[in-house]
Amino acid sequence: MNVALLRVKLSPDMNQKKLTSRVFSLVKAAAAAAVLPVFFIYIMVAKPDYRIMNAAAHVIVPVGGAVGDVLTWPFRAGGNLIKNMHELSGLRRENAELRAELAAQRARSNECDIAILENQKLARELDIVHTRPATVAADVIHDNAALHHNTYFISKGARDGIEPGQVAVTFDGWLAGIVIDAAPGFARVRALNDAETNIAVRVAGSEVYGFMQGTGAMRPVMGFFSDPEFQPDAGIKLITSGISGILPSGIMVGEMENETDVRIKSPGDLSRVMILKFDSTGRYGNEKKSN
Amino acid sequence: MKRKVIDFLRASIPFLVTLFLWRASVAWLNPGGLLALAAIFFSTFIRPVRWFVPFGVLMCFLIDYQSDTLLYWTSVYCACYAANGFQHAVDLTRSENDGAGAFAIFFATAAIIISIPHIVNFTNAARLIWTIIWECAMYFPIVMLIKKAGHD
Repeated sequence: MNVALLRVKLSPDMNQKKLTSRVFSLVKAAAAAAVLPVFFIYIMVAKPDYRIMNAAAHVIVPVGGAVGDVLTWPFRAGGNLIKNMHELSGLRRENAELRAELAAQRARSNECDIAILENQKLARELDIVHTRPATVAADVIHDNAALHHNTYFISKGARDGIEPGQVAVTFDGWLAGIVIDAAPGFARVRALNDAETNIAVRVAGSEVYGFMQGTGAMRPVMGFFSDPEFQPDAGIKLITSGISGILPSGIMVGEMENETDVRIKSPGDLSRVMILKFDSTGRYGNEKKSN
Repeated sequence: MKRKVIDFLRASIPFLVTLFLWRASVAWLNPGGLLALAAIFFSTFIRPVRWFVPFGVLMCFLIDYQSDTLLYWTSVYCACYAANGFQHAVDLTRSENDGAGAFAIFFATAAIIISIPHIVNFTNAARLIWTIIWECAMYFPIVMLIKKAGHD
């Protein structure tokens, strides 16, 4: 009898709660649905620099990254330990190889010195002034290799004068990417194998131009060459062409592996890079552009 | 006090696992931190965790920033949340295998859609297939970890 009374008394309350819960879940679903057109309009309107989105990321990413670094610390430390041990085991062999390489380089050094002096003499005679852009050295702090996209974070950002459009090069002079976003304390660099990369290059030692496109895979590919009779072959070196001035000319981009694939410096190979503060008026960012 | 700390850690496990998976991104095993989507999906649709939805949106945004996909994963997450909230027909909280089938459909569809413009060679197609299989396979241990930590 008591149980039956209780049921009668509780039933409207329970229904009320159920109804409230259902309405609340519908409101939440409607809010989520309402966000979608906002996103869509924003993506259409804010193209190509997405300032609001990037500004939000400049706050959220460092916070998430700091907490994430604490959480992943034991695993990263373990990984580094294994990597260091592996590197240590190959050090003796590498040392021997480097000694042989050094001897060969020394032999070529005199030829290079003469060529540099001759070059300087010719430049003086022709009144050519070589200006070198200022550089900032930065550590590669995170490789963001993703599905079809390859970017990475570097440890220097807007506080150090880094801006979107500037160029990342390795310490041995290879092109390593283009800065696409700069937060105060870090910057995001688009690697050469990113699917959005499209760079006008020149075959070193010739006047043949072409376009190198990233595909999202390990190796970017050459789209076409300006000379239809040119036969691409393994070992051909590609440098930036400087055609439109977005990238400085003469930077080593990569080496052809076969008729189409280009060997480049991918983010996995990098621990430090130099950012060339190249004064560009164009932008190389979220839109496909060539240099 | 000790009890409170344990309870706090237990409640925060889905959040910490998600953050961990996002940060531990590796080219082939966890591209762009996509494995975090497994934890996000489970903690939003299968065993809803209080206050997880705003966190899920934030994490999808971080995945998008890391993957350079604008707001794609955030939009997919919001779309799924809205679709799930509007319908009565399927109750994901009661789905079998902790919603592994639903997650596979969710992830595979979204990954295929975003990959369509990029399937220009065999490597990219193979990578897409691998990512889908790997992500679906890793759903089980991720879910198990969250469940064990929460004594579910």
